[in-house]
Amino acid sequence: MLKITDLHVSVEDKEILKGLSLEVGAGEVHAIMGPNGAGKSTLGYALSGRDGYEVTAGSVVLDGKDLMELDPHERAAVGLFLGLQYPVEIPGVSNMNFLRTAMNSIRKYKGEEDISAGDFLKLIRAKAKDLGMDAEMLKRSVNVGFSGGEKKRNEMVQMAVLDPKMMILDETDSGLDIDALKVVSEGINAMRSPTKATLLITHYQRLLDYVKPDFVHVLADGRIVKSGGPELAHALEKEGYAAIAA
Amino acid sequence: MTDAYLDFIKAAQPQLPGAQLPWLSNLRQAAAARFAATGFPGRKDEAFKYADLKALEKTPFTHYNGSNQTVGQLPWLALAGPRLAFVDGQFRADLSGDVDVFAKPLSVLLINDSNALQDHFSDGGDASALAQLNLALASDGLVLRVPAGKDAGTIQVLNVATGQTSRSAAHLRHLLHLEAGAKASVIERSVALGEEDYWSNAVCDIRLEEGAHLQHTQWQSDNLSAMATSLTRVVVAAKAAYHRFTLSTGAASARSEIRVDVRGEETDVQLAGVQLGKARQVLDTVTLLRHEVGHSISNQTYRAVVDEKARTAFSGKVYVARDAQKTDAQQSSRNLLLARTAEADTKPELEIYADDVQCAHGATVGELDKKALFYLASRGVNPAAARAILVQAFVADVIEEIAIDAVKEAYLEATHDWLMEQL
Repeated sequence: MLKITDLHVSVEDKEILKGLSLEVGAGEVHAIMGPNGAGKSTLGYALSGRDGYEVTAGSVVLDGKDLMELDPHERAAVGLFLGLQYPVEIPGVSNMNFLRTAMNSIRKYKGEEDISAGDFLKLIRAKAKDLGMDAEMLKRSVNVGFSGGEKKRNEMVQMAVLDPKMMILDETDSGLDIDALKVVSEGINAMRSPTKATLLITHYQRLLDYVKPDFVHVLADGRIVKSGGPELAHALEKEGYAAIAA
Repeated sequence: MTDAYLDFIKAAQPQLPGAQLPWLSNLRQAAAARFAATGFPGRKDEAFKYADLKALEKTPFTHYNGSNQTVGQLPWLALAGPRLAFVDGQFRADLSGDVDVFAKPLSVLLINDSNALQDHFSDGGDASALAQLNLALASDGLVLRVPAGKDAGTIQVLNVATGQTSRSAAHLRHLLHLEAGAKASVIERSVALGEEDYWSNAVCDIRLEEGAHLQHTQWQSDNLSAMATSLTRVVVAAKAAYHRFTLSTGAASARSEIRVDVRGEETDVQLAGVQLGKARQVLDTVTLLRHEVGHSISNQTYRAVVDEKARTAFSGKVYVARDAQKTDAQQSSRNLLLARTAEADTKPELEIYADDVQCAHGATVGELDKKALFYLASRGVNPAAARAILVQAFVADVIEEIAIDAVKEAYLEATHDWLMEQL
């Protein structure tokens, strides 16, 4: 589904990713783990096309489409979703309005009609309920005054509503207590399907107790230095990055 | 250049309403003389620092259109109540709705009921050339007089410029006088039918007696060649409330000055506005709030969105006299630049002589939040829609405060249309 080949990415002229290759098949969950500064967040941002993350070489193909040819909103429209480590607060824009605009933007890109107000309301209420978000919060400004856990839960609601095929979750587990972590994990697990794929970017093994990955990769100094099954995450937890990545 | 205006005044005066009244002729001549002595204000004049009035001096706006121009459908809001249409400075009964007992055109009153209007034509100590010219040339306006305890409902005023001949001028003079406990809503809009330049120079005097309540909204949507200047003077007695909102989208150069004198306790003054600037527009708002007496609140909330080579300015002064204890005066001016070539100036000024007050101001000038733009894009929102949603959010909270739903919706729609054109 997602094929990353020899990806080089620079931020402010400093090379952060130095030839990263990775293939994620449909129905699979991959975890990328690595120490701070390895380039984990850079990978998420580069894949979603954020300004300032310059791809100097390599290719990224999602379902046959060259992502590097697309603008960030177009990447979302073809099915890429990036769950942010620090979801942004947008005063004055309600969660409802935000998601409806996003959904209709994506539909427009695909040449589809806008979703009707009634259908949208039904959809968002159902997804919020599944993820334990209070319907009142949908009317509030995006992430404004939300706790860390509520922000991540909101990311899961957005993901469920937009229904992407390739989900990249950047440190979605950071800063969460155990209850919030369970909610987020359920959100991710609910999206698992033979036609979708997930890439978890995380520092700790904790999330992987709840979302079982099929493959685990170790990212160090801009490259994947080791790949394996779920057992690799446990080894990392026990022995540390230094021992494994060396 | 003042000579051209003085010649114009001389020629126009015999035709102005009330020309037969000696007291009025005297006041007009005195105003013309003061204008001759001072000339137009320049940028050295602090209150006019950010305004651009050069066009008024370059070629005089001294053309009067006839009063019988054909005018099509006017943009009234679907609200019950009196409607007054002024076209190129003249009241047009044929285009207006029912004029009722409280709301009447000045030109009609100057024939029937002139003595009661003498106060209204005193210059109020205002020495600015714009106000003097208005006094000398005022041709019409809304006179709203609401007796104690009455509710005058909602009055709509349209200030229409035909905009079909260059350099025409309209000097409207409004008087809104609400006696004790009276209520009214006044909804003003200025609009042009054609593209030619013109000058709209209005003066509005407002007197609110004890416990009176006036809701006042204004949409300056003049054409992009126009000069639009206005001065609003408000005197507020105890327990009275003045709630004002101004949307400013039109004119090549606009200047709106609002002065409020708080003369009683427990008054509530809310001034708010949104300026949307594009092309090479200059949109200037100047406010002066004088708290002479304490135990009152005032709030000023202004937003500007500036694109292309436009410039907006907000200068807001709050004065609190020594005895005006327990005054609560808040001021906020936030400005959003959509282009590197745009400019927003904001100048809060507090002059406080009382020691037990709550006064605060906040002023910001910034660009759209890049993180928020990326966040929206990462969820599939295209760049134009993302910018629109953020700009709309920037101004919406101020517009949402408008109490009259039809006005609120019209202004939100106008903002949305403006954005769709710009983004």
